[in-house]
Amino acid sequence: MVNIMTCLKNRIGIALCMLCFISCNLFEDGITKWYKVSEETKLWLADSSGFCFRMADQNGITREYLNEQNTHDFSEGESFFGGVKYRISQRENYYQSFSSTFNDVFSFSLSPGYDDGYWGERISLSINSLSFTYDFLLDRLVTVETNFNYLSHKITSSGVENDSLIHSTIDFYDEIEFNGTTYPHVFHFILSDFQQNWTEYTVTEVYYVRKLGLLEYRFKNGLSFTRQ
Amino acid sequence: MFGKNEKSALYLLLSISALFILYACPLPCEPQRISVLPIPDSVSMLIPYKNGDTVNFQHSGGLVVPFVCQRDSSAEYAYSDWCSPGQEYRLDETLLIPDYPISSVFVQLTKYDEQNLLFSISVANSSTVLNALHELSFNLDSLKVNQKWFYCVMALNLSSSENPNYPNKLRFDSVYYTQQNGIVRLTMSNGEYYDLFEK
Repeated sequence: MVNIMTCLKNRIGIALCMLCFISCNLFEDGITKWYKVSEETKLWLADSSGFCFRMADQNGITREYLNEQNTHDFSEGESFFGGVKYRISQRENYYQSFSSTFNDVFSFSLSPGYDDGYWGERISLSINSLSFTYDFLLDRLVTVETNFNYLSHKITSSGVENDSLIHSTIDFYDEIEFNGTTYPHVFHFILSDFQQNWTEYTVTEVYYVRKLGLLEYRFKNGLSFTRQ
Repeated sequence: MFGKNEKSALYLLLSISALFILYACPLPCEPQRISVLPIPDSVSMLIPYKNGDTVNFQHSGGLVVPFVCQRDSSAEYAYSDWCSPGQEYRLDETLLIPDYPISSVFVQLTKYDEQNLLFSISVANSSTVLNALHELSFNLDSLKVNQKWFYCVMALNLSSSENPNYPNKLRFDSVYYTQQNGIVRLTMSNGEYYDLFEK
């Protein structure tokens, strides 16, 4: 009799643990909000044909960029009220990074927008000491960084504060011609901020093609590197 | 006061505590150092660069790139384990820094003991390491660079870390070196090269 009771207690205990585990997961599933990058925005990622590419400057010096990371994951955020978790957010991230023969570093990433309408999907590009982020919903550059100087728009429910904070620009083109080749869906970034801190080798312009990746970048001294 | 089992458990606990304390707070140690004689001048002369010199290289496309030399020698110690004797080794390092966005070139002598004296050249993702006492007199030949003949030129292959995803990656694949002039030519796997340019 005692054995039967002990056996039952053990089974009930295990069953309770499993129920708790399942219900916790179900509960978490119920409060989890998924934020994903749209198919349209995902087209900006370089496909595998762009994972190894060469660029040459005006002097014919070639450098090769090799893909080092191509990751897709979700970053989790949790909201609590009175010690009780009431919301979990899972934000999708895409990240591609490359390094060159001469140790240049280049990366490109995508992140989703929020459903509160404050900001939208974003693309971020970084090459050597230059980084910038563009927001599709706000249709503007929201961060610019170069040579350890950083500008970032403060965004509230009433919109973007200090509208004239960032002077750098980004323009999107349906197509653009480079060295006799026409590339569709291109953006062109021009750095205008922090001019007093520029060096000869500060990257001041970037052309980027949807699906293909980096097309050209230019230094302050006029040296430019173009996709081969 | 304690039974036999309790005593055993107590001794075991004390032993574990003692071991833990010894591991966490090791006894002070003055490690010995095993010294190595400096790199002899006859070997240092394998590298002709002097600190502050400027060396020019001409890219196969025509651009001349000046490289500034930084040379320094030092003694370092390597410790293999806690309180083990420190093995001294001597370094003679030369860095050629370009005035252009390409890679620096690193030429180094490392003396671990009287038999192990290594000569190495590294550029971007490629390098070569040789025994400076035995291997630097091989493969000597003459080479014409920028209309000038160089003699007793060593042709050295540069190796690069393998990346199975990119077996044909662009890299520096060989260096031509003389004791008198240092690097006279660097070649890349796509046919581009950098030649010593003497004005």
